[in-house]
Amino acid sequence: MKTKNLILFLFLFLFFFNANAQEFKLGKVSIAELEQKVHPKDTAAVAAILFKKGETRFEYSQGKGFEMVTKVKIRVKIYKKEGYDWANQSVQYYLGNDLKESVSFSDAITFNLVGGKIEKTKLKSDGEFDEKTDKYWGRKKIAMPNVKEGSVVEFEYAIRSARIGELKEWFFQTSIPVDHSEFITYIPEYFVYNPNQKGFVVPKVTVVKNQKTISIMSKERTGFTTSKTTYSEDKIDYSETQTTYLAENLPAMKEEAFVNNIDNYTSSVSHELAMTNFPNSPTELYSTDWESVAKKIYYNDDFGPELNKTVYFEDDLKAIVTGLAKQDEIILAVLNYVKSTVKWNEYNGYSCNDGVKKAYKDKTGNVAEINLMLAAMLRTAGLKANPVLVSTRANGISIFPNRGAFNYVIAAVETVQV
Amino acid sequence: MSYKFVSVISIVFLFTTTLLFAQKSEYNTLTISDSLKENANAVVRLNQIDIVIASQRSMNIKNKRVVTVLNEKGLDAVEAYENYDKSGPVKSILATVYDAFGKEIKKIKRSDFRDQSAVSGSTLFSESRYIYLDYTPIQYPFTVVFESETETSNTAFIPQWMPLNDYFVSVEKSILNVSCPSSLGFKYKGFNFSNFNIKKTVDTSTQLSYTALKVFAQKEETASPSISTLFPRVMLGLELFHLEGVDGNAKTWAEFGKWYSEKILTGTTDLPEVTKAKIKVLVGAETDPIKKAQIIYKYVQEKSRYISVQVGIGGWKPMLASDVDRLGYGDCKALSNYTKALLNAVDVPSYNTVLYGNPRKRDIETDFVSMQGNHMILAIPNQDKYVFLECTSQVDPFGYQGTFTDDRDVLVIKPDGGEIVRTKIYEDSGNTQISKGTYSISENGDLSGKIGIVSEGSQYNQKFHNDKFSATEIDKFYKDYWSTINNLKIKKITFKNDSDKISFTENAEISAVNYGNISANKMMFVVNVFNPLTQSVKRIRNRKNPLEIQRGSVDIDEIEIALPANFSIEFLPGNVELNSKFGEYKTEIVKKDNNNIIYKRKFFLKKGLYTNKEYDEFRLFMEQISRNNNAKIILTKS
Repeated sequence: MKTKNLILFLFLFLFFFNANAQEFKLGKVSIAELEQKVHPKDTAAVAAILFKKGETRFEYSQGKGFEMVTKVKIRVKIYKKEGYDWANQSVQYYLGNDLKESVSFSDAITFNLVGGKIEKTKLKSDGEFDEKTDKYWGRKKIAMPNVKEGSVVEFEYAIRSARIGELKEWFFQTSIPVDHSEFITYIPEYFVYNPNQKGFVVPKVTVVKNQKTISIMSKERTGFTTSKTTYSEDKIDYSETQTTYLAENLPAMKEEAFVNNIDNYTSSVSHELAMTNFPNSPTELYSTDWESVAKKIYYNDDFGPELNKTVYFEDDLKAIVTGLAKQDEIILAVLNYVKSTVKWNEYNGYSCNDGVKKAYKDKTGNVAEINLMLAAMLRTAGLKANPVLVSTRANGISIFPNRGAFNYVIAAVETVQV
Repeated sequence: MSYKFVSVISIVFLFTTTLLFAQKSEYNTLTISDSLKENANAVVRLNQIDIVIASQRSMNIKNKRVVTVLNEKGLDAVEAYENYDKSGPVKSILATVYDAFGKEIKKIKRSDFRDQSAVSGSTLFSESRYIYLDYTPIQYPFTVVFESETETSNTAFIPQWMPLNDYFVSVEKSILNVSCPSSLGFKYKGFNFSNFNIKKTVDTSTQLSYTALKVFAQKEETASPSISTLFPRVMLGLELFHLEGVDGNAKTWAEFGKWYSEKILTGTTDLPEVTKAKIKVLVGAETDPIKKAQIIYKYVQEKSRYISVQVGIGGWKPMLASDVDRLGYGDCKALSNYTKALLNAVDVPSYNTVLYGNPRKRDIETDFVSMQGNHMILAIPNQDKYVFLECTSQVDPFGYQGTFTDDRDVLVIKPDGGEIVRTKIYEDSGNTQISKGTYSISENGDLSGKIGIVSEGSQYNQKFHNDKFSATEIDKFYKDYWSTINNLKIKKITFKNDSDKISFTENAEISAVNYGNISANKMMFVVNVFNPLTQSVKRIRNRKNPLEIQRGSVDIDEIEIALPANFSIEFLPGNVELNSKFGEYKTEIVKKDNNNIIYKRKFFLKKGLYTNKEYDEFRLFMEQISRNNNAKIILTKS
């Protein structure tokens, strides 16, 4: 009897143990991983990502509300000298006035096999750098110590951000092979995000719902003569959707000639905020289909209202088109006028920066200012003209509707065929 | 009442309107003389630099630069930027833009300048930043007046005065004013003044001034010496200076080296005992210092990687050897110094060496003592010479300098002083590429061939990375290398890198369909398959600059060619022998029998510096070679 129970217990224990064999823990690098000389599936690889796991959660704090916290754990194997740069990591963060982000690194260790034994070198603060790139962006960088051919480096980084408009894009593939890539999002019911998947490798998706609670403490002072402070705690229950994206044995994506942008084909998942649904507030839509995306962009102060401004150029435009009757002539005249009047300052985008009026006066503007101005002028000249949102090659091709699908605007005229 | 009011307002209005548009008639572009506009994309109307050295630890530089940009290509000449860091902040910076008539069109204050970290490609982190003007021109020409003031305690670097620093830019007026107390040993040296209108206007014990007037735009000419040997410049320095918290005092290179050794390098070579013991074991019983150094150099190459981190005096002082040992990375100063520390542990002397690292050779000035250079390597004495080690490379053979640090004057810093030494000169006759191979042409004109190429000397440098290429990179490289062969297919390629002999061998098997052009009953093809000369030397009328061939080389080819059966030779290119002061070129075709010939080629190009008048001779020499390289054989079907 006892032995049967023992066997049953062992069986269950083993079963349980096996099921969790994939449980990845930082700090547990195996000798086999260190001994590996080349990647089993890609012998030309200079390095490989053995394990990459990311988790994005929403943490609530009374002062700040919901903050997005993304934690990423990575284990990288370096095969050759040419792969040394993979032992450096750089994470960009926003440091504009509002919505500052912060990045912190931890558990950064280099593992080497020395005389059959595992030797660990920890990253100290002198290997961590914080660079203020410019007014809006900073970069936290680390350079792992004691890296040699055969080393395995591990580190974790956490990004805290109040910019919940989109989750950071998670690339399953990169330019070296990736053995295991896992991305888990824990999203409270108040937010609805549209996941956009890209690439030829489709990750395995599993969804689980959890129950969470937020406690809100509030103070209340009562009484006239003697003030009494009562503390009350409100508990708010909400459900959280936990979605796991898992992909394994991903081949390296290398640059190839005659490909517009290799990122368009590299497997990734990105999430864009579609709507928010807070209790006691109306539902706010952000972008769910191309129609909504276009509407949202149009009603933005830097787009629609700018397109509708005409007073600043009316007199000058009249002078340009007087006497012209044929459509082609009018189009050419207006186009040449804008080209010669306002010079591009090399900034892309579909939102005006200083506005069309200032751009016209200063004679320099960004893509939006110049092309919205052009569309407005063509309209005033009696043509059926509209702005057109487009995406440059570097911006990639978006399969699902989202505001980031576009980064440029041009003007188009519908002409009548005679 | 109303009339008086109106007239008062009108008068006030009149006054204000006339004051609103400031006209700087001196910046009117129409007044620029034609001679200054010739060959110019921009004209420096005025560049005035005032350097005031108040003491050994305080220098103030005011810069006023007025540039009229004539077209897009002249934008770079505006140079409205300042580099800065914690010890040398920018006190003020502003720019004003004027249109073609000298009317002000934009004022740009400090907050509108862009402020960025000066981290470039190879640098991981640096405290240096730069502030620059990001201006979109509305129309050309326009004039920018840039004014800045910086202050620094680092008097070890006084910027060189170079009124003309680029091609296709002319200078109307450029002024340098330096004032310095007589106790600091201020010194200066001018270079390349002849043919330029440069005058020294003030020269006292405390003041120095130069003026450059009407410097016409220079055209860029191929194979010219570097700008620093062509254009006028003045180097400035102090005998008593200051660098990041350290005072310095040096009159000669010996003294400078001693200062650098004692004040900057001291204490940077301590190593943990464990490391010293490990190195002693690694070196074992070896007694020859060069052999010991080879073992240690290999150890550093395998253990370390290059990462550039420049922080504070870290910009000038090497990172501690114990830190490099722990981190496994560093920049050129750190890795050279670390290698020195390891060599110390096994009693092999070595010295930090400061120089300019660049394929374009540049010397540390023997006759002017100041902080110069942009790179550091290590020098190991070997009898009466030095072996120089490039400690940032994980792949360079021991002592190989390639084209990055060869044949130039460098500063070797010994504990008792510094000395200027010339690095290894790779003799022309040693920069060889020796090819031996065969190819056959079929009746259809299809080519099939094998070649073995051995590269040594400075030619080794261009090839020895090829064994690290991926299959796609190899394909791309060789299709480009043998670009004159259409339909080229690389069937097989292997490499052998002998880093002891410094010799790299490539063995390739190739094929190409329709290499031989067949028309009617004749076939024609270029005999020289494997060594095409793809650059042409252009004609330059009235060349002004000397001609410089930085490095010489010798290519020797011997190829056996099997001609298709059923064809007979109608025409064989004649043997050619060209001898000139620039080198030799010789081709010879030996007929073994009716279907087999041997093609022999030797091209020896000498390193040299020639006058501008000799350029056309050189062009003709190269043209003859190019024509002969493409010599064709004609076969007739029999």
